[in-house]
Amino acid sequence: MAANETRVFRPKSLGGLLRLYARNPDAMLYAGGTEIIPHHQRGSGRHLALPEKVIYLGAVPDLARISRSQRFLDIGACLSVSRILSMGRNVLPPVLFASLSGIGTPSIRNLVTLGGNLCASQSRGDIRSALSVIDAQIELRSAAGTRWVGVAQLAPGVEGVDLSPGEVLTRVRVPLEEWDVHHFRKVPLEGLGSHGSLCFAAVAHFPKGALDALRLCFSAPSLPLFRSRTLESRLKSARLPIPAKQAEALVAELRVSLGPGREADRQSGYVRATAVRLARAFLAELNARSLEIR
Amino acid sequence: MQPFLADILTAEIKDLCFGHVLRSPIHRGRVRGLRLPPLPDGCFLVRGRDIPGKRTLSCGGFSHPVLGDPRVQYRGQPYALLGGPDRDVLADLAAAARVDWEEQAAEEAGDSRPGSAAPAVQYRRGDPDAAFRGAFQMVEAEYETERRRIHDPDLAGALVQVSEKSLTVYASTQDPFGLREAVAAVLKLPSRRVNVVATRLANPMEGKFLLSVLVAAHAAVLATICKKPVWLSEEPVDNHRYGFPGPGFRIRQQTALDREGNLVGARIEMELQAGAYPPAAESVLLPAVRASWGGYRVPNLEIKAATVCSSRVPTGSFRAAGRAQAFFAAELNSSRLEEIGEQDPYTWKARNLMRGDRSADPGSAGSPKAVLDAVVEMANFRRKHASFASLKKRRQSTLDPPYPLRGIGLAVAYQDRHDPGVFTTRPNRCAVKAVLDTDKRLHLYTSLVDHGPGVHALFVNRAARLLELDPAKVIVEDVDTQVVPDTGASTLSRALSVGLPLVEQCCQAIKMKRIKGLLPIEVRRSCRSPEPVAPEADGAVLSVPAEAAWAATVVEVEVDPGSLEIAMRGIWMALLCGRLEGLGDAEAYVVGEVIRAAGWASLAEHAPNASQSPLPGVPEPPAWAAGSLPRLARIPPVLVRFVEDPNPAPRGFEQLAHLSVPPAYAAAVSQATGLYVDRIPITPEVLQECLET
Amino acid sequence: MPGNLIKLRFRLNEVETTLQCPPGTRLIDILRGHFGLEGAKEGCGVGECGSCLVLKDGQAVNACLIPAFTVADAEIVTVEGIRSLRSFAELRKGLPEEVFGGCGFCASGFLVALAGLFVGNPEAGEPEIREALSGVLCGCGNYPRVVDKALRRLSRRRKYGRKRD
Repeated sequence: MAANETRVFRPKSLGGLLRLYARNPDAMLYAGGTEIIPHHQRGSGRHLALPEKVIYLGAVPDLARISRSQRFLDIGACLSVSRILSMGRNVLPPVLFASLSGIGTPSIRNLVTLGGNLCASQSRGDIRSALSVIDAQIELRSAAGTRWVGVAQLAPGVEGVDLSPGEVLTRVRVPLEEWDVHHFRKVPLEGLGSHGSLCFAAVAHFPKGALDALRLCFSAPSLPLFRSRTLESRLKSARLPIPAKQAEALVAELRVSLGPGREADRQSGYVRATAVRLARAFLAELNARSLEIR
Repeated sequence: MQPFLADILTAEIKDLCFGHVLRSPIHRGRVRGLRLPPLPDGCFLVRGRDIPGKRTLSCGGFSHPVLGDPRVQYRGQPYALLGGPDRDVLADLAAAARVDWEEQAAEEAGDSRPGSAAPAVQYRRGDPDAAFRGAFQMVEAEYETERRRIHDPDLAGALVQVSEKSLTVYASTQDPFGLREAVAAVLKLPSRRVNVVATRLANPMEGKFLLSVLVAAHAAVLATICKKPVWLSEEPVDNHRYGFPGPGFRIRQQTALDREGNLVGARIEMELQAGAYPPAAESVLLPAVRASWGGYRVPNLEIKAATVCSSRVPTGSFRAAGRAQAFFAAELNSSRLEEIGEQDPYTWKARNLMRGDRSADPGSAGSPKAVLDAVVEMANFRRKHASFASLKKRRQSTLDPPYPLRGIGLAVAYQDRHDPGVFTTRPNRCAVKAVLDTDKRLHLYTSLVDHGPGVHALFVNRAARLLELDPAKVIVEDVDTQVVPDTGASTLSRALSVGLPLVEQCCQAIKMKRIKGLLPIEVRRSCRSPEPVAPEADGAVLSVPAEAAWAATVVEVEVDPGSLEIAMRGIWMALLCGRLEGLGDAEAYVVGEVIRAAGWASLAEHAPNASQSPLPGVPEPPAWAAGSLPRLARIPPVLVRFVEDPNPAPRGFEQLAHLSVPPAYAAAVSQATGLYVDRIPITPEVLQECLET
Repeated sequence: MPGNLIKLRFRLNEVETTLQCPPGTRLIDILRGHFGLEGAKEGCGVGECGSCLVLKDGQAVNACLIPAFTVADAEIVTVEGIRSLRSFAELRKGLPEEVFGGCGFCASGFLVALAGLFVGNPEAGEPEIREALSGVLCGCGNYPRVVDKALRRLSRRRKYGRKRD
């Protein structure tokens, strides 16, 4: 593709975007570009190797709105991560704030958008685990209609998320629930040839010292979004602090559920072993927190 | 001051041609045929047969074919060049190139290839066989250092301008005269017809030797053929995938101890993993041999060292290449011996280190014990070491409480004053020229490019003081081989031990001539180039040089029991290297070196070298990564102190961080985790592997 | 227009600017190749090293990741602007270039990162300064010096630049 054969469209409304995309389903959607540009570089002084059609999302106001109700926070998919973070720790759920803060560098966070990070390849989707544990919902719209999906239904492949033709990720609905514990860890996987990270998000609610809800989610390049409702329900109604035997039983079940990983894949072995240790450390933190609150 | 190469405004150069390098997609083989689409006007192809002169480049003991045509030995090796006025067109042509390869099996390290390896070296002192037979205890371990890259934002590149009689090469290089010679040989021209202008160099300058020469040679060949100015620069992705990394080593240490725990003998076997083209022994292997026993008193010693080749990107020259890897093994080995002997590392080292050929005199100001004492005090080492050792003893197994998982390590290393840092066979004599003009401005001419803590500022300040001039009136001229004399390749050691004395001599001569009153005054002073240690000189190889610079380093770490991430909590370094007045900001420079050495010890390459397949199941990583340069968040507090030195002669100290930080880090991780990790970099994944085995 | 060029209108260092170029032209190439502004440097081309930072609408971004078609109507300030414009005079007083030392390759990245921080948050504290500088890689390992000097500036509590929307 010669550099000056790319056509760039700049729709100015959501309706216009959806109609345009319906007519040009082969067009590349462009938001912040941090996932796209590195793979389209051709070298110093040379134009990017962009596809024939690009639809620039940055001029659609509906994609950059934030609205808040008592129960939800709706965040437009084209808001930059830095813009979202500027709402502050008191507005955003702490687990989401932590996961957004860990993305890239400050200048990258000025470009990366929420939708872009969700649609990124498996190695880069840093915020999926955090959005999953708080049961965020994703709005997908096309000229044909609208649907809402959970994070787990946005199944990322190596190249990115597979949406239906003409579908655009337009906003993320974040429930504003109260949790007693928010936990997020991001462990870089640089040593194994990956730009990705192992992300672990967890939340827990324990009114009157009994565990009412516990959610755990892991994501990593070699571990598609992992969350097990069966595991999460194991400790329902358990009194805190959780006895060591019960915690170890949960950790052992987690280890089995994660599986052994791909043979001879150093990264997947490390990811699984680390996930188990992080879970164990979280349960210890949960116990400590429960004692503090009393 | 010259701009950075990338900042030369190429848009203003008329008829500029660009170059594009065609690289081998196979590990090893032969080009049987090459087909391209019809070449547009102004575009042309260069093959190996089009090179007028020498087809192999040499620089600092490293050698590399100008083009791998017909034979390539590693994936990514340049085999042909394209030239033309439009970079996009050249890239499209390169993508359309069809090569008929006769592919051969890739070589693994250790496969034999006739004539490929540098000869092995062997040294012996005393009777190691008898020492081992009579030993009370023997300790054996194998240490490994991975090949490493640096973050180099200032990529190797060249702009070549041709005239009827000569060629001017603008290049980012540490050795302008070496580059000139190499390019002249490739073009079959006398050196005087090639002129090199050194552009400003980024980073603390490391490894701008062979790769700079290779890129310049490519640009020069293109320019000679098309008779137009040519611009050729590496791309960041090519530097990341195909840039020459620092050497990898495997080192086996066998140590014999007597009943009291004293060293009575050592056997050391070293293997340099050189990649496709091995360097000369004097470049990497011999410096490694000299550092292999770490400067301890070992009465009976045997060292064997060899180079192995493989179908990988060849190794290039890097900070303390060979020595850093050898000191890692030697110092980490000594920390094992300390532990086995249940001795405090400080006590063990103080007892066993050498200075010159004598034991270190206790309390002697110029001895390595001075840096040991200083760093131990700075870091509160002995108390922390004992405390962390006690915590470690209380753990049932590796990652169990009590927390935190902390450790602290100590290492000592030395750098030879006359170690030029880079082996070269030229020049025989190094020279500096100075001119005091009629306006009483002093002009200094040297091929030593500015770098580090301000080498040029050091020359300026020293000259200003000697001649009682305002420093603003002392100018170090741009490095242009038509104008400056050859002072040799630029390293901090050479700047301090050769460049600075020559500047001082020039100033003294001008001072004498100035009495007569006539200006301008021009003087030139020269000296013999420092001799690298000859391979046969056992005595020189097996002793610590009398005028060495020393450093002792302490690293403290904490390991996260969940993720195994290793956080450095502090690095302390004490140096003994003469008096450095006027050397700008030596402390900040050393801090920078410490940070880079810490990165080498603790960060892995982000992506595999393209000469290897990607890891199964792991997507092809992006085309660039910072390699072993840590980001700000990872950098611990670093404290540096220059210890008072009774010997005022300034000695090079640029290597000391890379010699001492990695083994101190490894020892600290070992104490924190109870795991013996005998390789660097040590990352969480490496710790996981150790746990599993 | 020949081929598929776009016409860009934007402000560059407070000057209204118009340019025609292919839509896939990177901002770093526009600045360096077209305008001769070589302060922003290309160290990696993938947004990792921070050598190419510029301010876009008051925020530090990597110019190597910005295609031309996203620059329309934007306010771009390069390190040359930060070094010369009156609106950044106070910032310059607090952060003379000698701060950066080393070889200077990353100096513009550090300066733009700090400008972006202080323009948006004149009262930024040590954690924010460290965070802002974390996106720039310094081959010399010169970070401690830069952080130190920036923190000294903080202690003098001056306000820099205009607030950006």
